[in-house]
Amino acid sequence: MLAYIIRRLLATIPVLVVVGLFTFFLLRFTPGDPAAVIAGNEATHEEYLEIRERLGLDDPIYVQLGKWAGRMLQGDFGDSIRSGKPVFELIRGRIGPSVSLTLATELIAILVAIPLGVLAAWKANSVIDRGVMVFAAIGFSVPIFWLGFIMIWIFGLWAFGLDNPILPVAGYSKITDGLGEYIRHLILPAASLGLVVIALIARMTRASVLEVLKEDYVRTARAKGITERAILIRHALRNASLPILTVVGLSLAGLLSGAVVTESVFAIPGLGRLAVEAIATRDYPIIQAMIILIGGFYVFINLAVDILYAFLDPRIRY
Amino acid sequence: MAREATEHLETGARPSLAARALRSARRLAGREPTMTFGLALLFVLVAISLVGPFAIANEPGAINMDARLDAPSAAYWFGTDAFGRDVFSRTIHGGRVSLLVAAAVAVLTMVFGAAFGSLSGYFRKVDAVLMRVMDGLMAIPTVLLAIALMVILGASLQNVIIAIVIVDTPRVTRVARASVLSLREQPFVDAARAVGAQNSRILLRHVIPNLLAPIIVMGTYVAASAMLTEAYLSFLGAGIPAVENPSWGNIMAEGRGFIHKAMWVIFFPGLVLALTVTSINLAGDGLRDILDPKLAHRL
Repeated sequence: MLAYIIRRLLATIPVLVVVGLFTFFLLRFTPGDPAAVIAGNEATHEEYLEIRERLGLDDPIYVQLGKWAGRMLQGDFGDSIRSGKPVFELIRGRIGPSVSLTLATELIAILVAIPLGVLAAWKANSVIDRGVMVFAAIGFSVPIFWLGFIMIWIFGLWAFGLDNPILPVAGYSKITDGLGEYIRHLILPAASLGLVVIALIARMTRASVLEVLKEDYVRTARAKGITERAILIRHALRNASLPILTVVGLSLAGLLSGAVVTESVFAIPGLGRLAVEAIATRDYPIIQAMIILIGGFYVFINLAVDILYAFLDPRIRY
Repeated sequence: MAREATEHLETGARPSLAARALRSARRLAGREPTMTFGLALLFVLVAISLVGPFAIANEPGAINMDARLDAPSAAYWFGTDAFGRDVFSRTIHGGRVSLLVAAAVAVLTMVFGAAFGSLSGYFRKVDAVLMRVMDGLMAIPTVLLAIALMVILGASLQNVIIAIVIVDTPRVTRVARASVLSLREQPFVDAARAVGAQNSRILLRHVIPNLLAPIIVMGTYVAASAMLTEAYLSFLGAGIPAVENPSWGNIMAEGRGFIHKAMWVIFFPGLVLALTVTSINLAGDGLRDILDPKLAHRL
């Protein structure tokens, strides 16, 4: 087991190296001179040359890469071009809202999707099943930001010509400022971001429960007279949990991508908004750091899911 | 097959092409109702996008300052935007752009995915390098990667296509590679090798033709997701510039400031986009069930 975890950990290194190289060259290939961007319009030629020197832009490319990689490994992401503040600090301040949104979305999605998926598998090929599948197909197809706007329009009561929202349609309230407001601010963003995850998890749940229901031990359980409820939950869902766990894990990483869009719609000051702002202002150190951190998070989630497998299913031996 | 053969004998002549097409369409509709619905919807939407621009009186870029943010009416079916431009006309024209992006991205990712996937699945050494690159690309969230690429490439229709192809190719490559890994162990590949066929011949004549089913199915999913990615990019201001071409994404991006007054600017293009993507996804699901039942478990 330990050997497996170590082997699996080592296997993540090449992926992280590729992500790192990609972000490094992203900056190099971008049109425009970073030194000129930092110096701004009012700098003298000497000031510009000094910045070039400080950034090490005159060094050979492999020296630059080596120095850059060394800084990244120490968690030093440099300073923001726009504000001059350390990137790490800027990112730390934005983590709370994004993590809250991601977890709230995943929670809503799991609560809705797993019962839907089990129901669809149990009533396979019925009207309910087809309904769930069509709902899932629609869930994959609706643009997240569009759904967000529709919700803002309806729950902001603009749909009815009124101006006092039922639920807050923008912004974020810290959990330290009261749990009620914190939750109320998360409902609409999480619901609009959650639809696609609901679709994904419901489909996977249906497919894997359907598979398990064909097994001999389910037939045996039925023959013993165990209630359908117990069969579905204790036998089917439990044995179908591995693939479901995989999509839950992967969707957690994918949600960060959706959060970029959702945070922009609901004006939530999270990581996604930071990324969009950084892109709009060409603030490359922030863009780099975001890609590396989110890429690292994705790799970590994949690893965690793989290791969890072994704990959940004793039949898996490594 | 059998029924067709006997009918052919009874009537003494082959039924006309149209009659046969109609009959197979009806049989398909009976067996795969959701897929048929998706295909029919897609057909209508594509037809409107292709023919529509010639049939609409209002130019998509025509500014009418007397009709700013007008609600939907007989003159402006989908209302007007902040410049008094006809949202209906812009939506129809935008459809061409979105469909073009979807089709171009689907075809290119299928070609690259099949090529990379078969090289990777067939040659161990290529696999080690190529799949690490693909894993790295897949570790970066789709939208973020696409935006980052757009920053390098610069905003234009062509660059949107390039960026989305780079984002989506790893997914197709992965499916293609998995198929090749099992295909290369098949007896017919051994047989080809035994009679002295070279690797290039085995790949082109024996492996790649068997890849077509999973690749085509992936192509439909990529087409659907490419449309959404284009909309996200344009919405975040990193996509197709609105002055160049209206696209569903940039029409909505321009409308976001007026949501409380003129929600139709966002509502209609988004609805048409959602319908189109749904129709492609439904068609893709049906296609998957018919062409590649094995893939159904993996997706």
